[in-house]
Amino acid sequence: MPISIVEARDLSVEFDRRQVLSGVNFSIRQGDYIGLVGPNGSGKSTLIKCMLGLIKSSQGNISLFDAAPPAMKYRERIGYLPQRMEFFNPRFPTTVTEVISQGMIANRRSGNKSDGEEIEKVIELFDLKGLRNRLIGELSGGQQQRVFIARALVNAPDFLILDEPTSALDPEVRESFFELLHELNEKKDVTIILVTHDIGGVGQYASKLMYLDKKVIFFGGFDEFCESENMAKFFGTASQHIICHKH
Amino acid sequence: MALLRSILSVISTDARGCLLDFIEFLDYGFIQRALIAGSLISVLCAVLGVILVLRRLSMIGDGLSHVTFGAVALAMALNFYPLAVSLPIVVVSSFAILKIMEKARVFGDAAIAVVSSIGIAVGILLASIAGGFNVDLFSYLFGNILSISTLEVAAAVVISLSVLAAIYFFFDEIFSITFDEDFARASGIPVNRINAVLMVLTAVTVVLTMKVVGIMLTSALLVLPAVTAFQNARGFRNAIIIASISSLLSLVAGVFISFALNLPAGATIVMVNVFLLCGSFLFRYFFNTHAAE
Repeated sequence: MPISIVEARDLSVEFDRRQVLSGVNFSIRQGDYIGLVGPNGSGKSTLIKCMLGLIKSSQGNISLFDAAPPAMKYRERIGYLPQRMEFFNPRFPTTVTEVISQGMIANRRSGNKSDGEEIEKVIELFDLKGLRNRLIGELSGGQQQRVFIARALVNAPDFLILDEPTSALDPEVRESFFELLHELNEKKDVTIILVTHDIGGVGQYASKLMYLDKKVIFFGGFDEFCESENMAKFFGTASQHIICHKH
Repeated sequence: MALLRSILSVISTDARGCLLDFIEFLDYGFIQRALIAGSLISVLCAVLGVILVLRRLSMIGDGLSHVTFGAVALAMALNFYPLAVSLPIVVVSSFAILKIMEKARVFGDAAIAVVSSIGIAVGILLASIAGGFNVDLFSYLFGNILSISTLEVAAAVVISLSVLAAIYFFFDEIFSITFDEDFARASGIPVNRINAVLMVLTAVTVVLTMKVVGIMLTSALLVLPAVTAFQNARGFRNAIIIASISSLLSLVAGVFISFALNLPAGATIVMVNVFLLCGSFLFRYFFNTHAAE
C-alpha cells in the first residue's frame, strides 16, 4: 500500500466571504503524478498553498506527510515552484547561485549539511553553468524559469509541487523538463503535482488528472476519465476527446 | 596612532600636514565617540536598509522617525530621558505598521503613512502644549553626532553588535523571506516571527540613528547606502557589503568634513552619501555593470 502524502477532508477556503474552495476531498499517494487543471479562479493555486500551510482553511482539514499546518514536518522533502509573477522582483540584486541555494534552506534547517554539490548538480542539469554569477534580472524569462525549477529540485525532494512550470520555457527545454519529471516519477518514485492550463497536453505527462472548479469535479486515472460518461456530459465529448487523445 | 605617525615620516610635506590634522582630529574625545557609535550605527543602517528597500519598505525609516519626534516631544513634556521614552513607543509603532499591513489589507507605504502622520501630529500637539519648539527638540530634529555621550556610545555598541549578530546568524532566512516570502514559508521558515523581529530591529535602529543625523534625516541613512549598492551589486551578500562600506565611508568623511568646515554633521554625512550614490550611478552608466539593462 503506497504511503499517503496529502489527505484533504471536506476542505473549504473563503476569502472575504467568497468561497474559493468548497468541500474538497482527495488523497495523494506516494508515486502519483497528478495533472491539476481547471479554469481561471478555480482554486488550483489556493489548493497547493493550503497543502503547504501558506493559506488557512476555513473548514475541514488537510495534512501533508501526516501532519496538519502549521505543525508540518519534513519540509526538506518538498520541492515547490510558485507561479513566477506572484513574487518576482526582477531588480532584486541576487545571482543565479544565490537563488538556487534557497532551495537548500529546509535541508539546512533540519540539520542536514550541504557542501554545494547538490547546487552544482542542478546547475549542470539545467544548463546554467555560464549563468551562475549573473543577476536573475539579467536573464530571459525562460532562463529565469529554469533557475526557479532548479531551486525546486535542488534538495532532491520526494514531493514536487509545480505551479505552471512551463509557462516561459521554449519547446525544446519544455520537452526535456517533462522527460526529467517522468524519470523522477518512474525511477525515484517522486510524487508530483503539476498545475497547468494545458488541459489538452496534460495527459501526455501525468498519470492522474484532478479537475478542480472550487470543488473536485474529477480525480482519477486518465483511462477512467476517458471512459466516464459523466465527464463526457460535463465537458462535452469534444473536450473529453481533446484531453484524452494525447494520453 | 603610532603607525600613522611612522607613515608620516616617509610622505610629502602637504600630505603630512593633512594627515597631522586628521590625527589631531582623532585625538578629541567627542570625535572618537562620534566615530565609534556612528560607524556601528551606519553599518547597521546599511544592512537593514538593503533588506527594507528590497521589501519595498523604504519609507519605514521616515515613518518611524516621525513617531520618534512625537515620542521625544512627549519625553520632554514629561521631563524624561528621550531615548528611554522613544524606544518602546517606536517599537510598538513598528508593530502597528506590520498589523495595519496585515489586517487593513494595504501596502506598506500606506501603513507607514498612517503611523507616521499620527506620530508627527502628536509631536506637534505636545510641543505646542509644552510651550513651542525649544532648543532641545530642535537638537533631536537635526541631530548632533558630536554631542554623543559615553552612555549613548555604550548603548550604540551593544545594540548595533547584537542586531548585526542576529542578522548574521539568520542571514539565509532573511534573504529567503526578502526574495520570496511564500517560498520561505513553504521551506518552514517562521516568516511572521522573523518579520516581527525585523520590525523591532528597524525601530531600535531608527531611535539610535536620531542622534547621528537627526529625526529629519534618519531615513536617508537607511535608504541611500542601499540604493548606492544596488547600482553595481552582483548579488545580495555583495549588496550588503557595498552598502556597509559606502555608509561607513560617508559617516567618517561626513564627520571629518563637518568638523573641518564647521558644517552640521548630520546633513554633511547625508550629502556624502548622496555624492557616493551619484558616483555609483555614473560607474554603472559608464561601465554597464548590469549587462541586461
